[in-house]
Amino acid sequence: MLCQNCKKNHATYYYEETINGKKRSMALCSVCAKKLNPEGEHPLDSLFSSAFESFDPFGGQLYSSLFGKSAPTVTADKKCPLCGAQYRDLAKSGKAGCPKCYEIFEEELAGTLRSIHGNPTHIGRTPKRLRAQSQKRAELEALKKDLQAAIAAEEFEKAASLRDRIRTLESGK
Amino acid sequence: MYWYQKKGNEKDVVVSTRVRLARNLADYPFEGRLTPAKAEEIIRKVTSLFEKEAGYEIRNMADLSHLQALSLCERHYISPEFAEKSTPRALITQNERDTALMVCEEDHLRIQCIKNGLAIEDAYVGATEIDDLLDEHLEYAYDEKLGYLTHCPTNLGTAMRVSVMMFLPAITMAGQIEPLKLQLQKIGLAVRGLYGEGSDASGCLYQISNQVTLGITEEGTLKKVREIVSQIAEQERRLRQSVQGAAFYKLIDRASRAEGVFRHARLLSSEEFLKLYADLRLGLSLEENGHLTYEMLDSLLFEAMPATVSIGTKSEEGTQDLPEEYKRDLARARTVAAALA
Repeated sequence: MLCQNCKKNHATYYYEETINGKKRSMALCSVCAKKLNPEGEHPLDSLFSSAFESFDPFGGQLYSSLFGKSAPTVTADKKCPLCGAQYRDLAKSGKAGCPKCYEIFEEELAGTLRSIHGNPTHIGRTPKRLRAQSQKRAELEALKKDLQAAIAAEEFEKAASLRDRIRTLESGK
Repeated sequence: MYWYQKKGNEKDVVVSTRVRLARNLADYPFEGRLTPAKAEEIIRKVTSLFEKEAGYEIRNMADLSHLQALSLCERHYISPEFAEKSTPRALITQNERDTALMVCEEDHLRIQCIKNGLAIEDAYVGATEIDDLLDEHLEYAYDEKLGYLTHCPTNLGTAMRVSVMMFLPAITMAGQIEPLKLQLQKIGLAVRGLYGEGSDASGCLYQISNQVTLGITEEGTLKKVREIVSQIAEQERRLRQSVQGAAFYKLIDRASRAEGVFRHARLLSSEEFLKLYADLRLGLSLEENGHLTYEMLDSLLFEAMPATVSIGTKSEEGTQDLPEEYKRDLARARTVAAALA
């Protein structure tokens, strides 16, 4: 989207002001945004944040404070091969175009996902086809942790047996 | 038998429990980028899995009237969005297990199990049965880090929503709903009015549900909701028990009057119905009422809704020319009176 003020640069900010009860909102480039709001603080949110407000389950309070002040770096022409969506489509709707979008726009979405969920990794159910694999990975991680602990405690016999089990598990990949 | 006609636990404070799982197929775009042909393809793939399974009913939503779709929504089998959509979509239900599967909703698959009263584990087990069946044959969109991939990024992870519909008149009257909302928000739970997001809480009915889906297991979520619901239930019961003297008689008088109106009214609007429902339901928990049960009242809560009431009753002789609203209010009054007779 082009800046609605200069109509030259790409808009990366969403500007909203209320004067005498009249609300005005526009998409601006960083130059115009700075001009209109020299302190560059409260009313400026990234375009993505404004797009997210429409489905905000937290009543509009979270996004304004959590979303970064600037829009994430966007590779303009990057397209999702499965659904054809571009990052700006995701930003506009606040929703992914298809499952593949999460992989294609991983970098662009990182900040948004962090704002919604914090920084955790999924620890719930796994589809059947991946269940064995994920169990194996969890087991390997636990064994590696035990191995470190055994080495630290100088329990070398235990460490050797743990290492053997790790090797067996890894070779079965 | 519909889910709300069965017996439930902790009915004095809980109307129903629902567990919803969102799932998507790996190779298809989400709603909005999904062509009708592709949507039909998904519907065919999914419905074929249930055709030979016992007890499942498959409905092509295009075969239903708008009123029938709204009635399914009022009885909590489908979401309002699903009822209103015009794109290809299907509904698969299993009445014995109280499960429903919306195909091509916002996500390709929305699995839900809804139980009468408090039944968090049972509802989860019911939903996972459908999940396992689908998982066996379809390739789900899934990412190791993000979990089940969903159209809306707020559902990523377990993509599970557990919601318990609670009846909280005492907490409402004590002005404690807003503080409760704020308190729950801090721990990742939400409180919403009866008809989901963006609606006013009416009939003192609220949905308590989890907001966090990533970085927590399904079991962890169930436990969290269960613990909070039992704390809220305890608070509600304590407040009800503390009502004594004049206030107590005022409340049971209100309940008796509500019953009188339910038995004898000729016109009953949905607003009046909800108000009287709350009065009568609260009265049931304060004083024994030999001829009424929570299940009876809650069945009415779903069957006296506008679309369901319109479908369920034939219009009376001589009322054909009345405005729709009057016909509905007449039909509602008749439905309610008949249920209590």
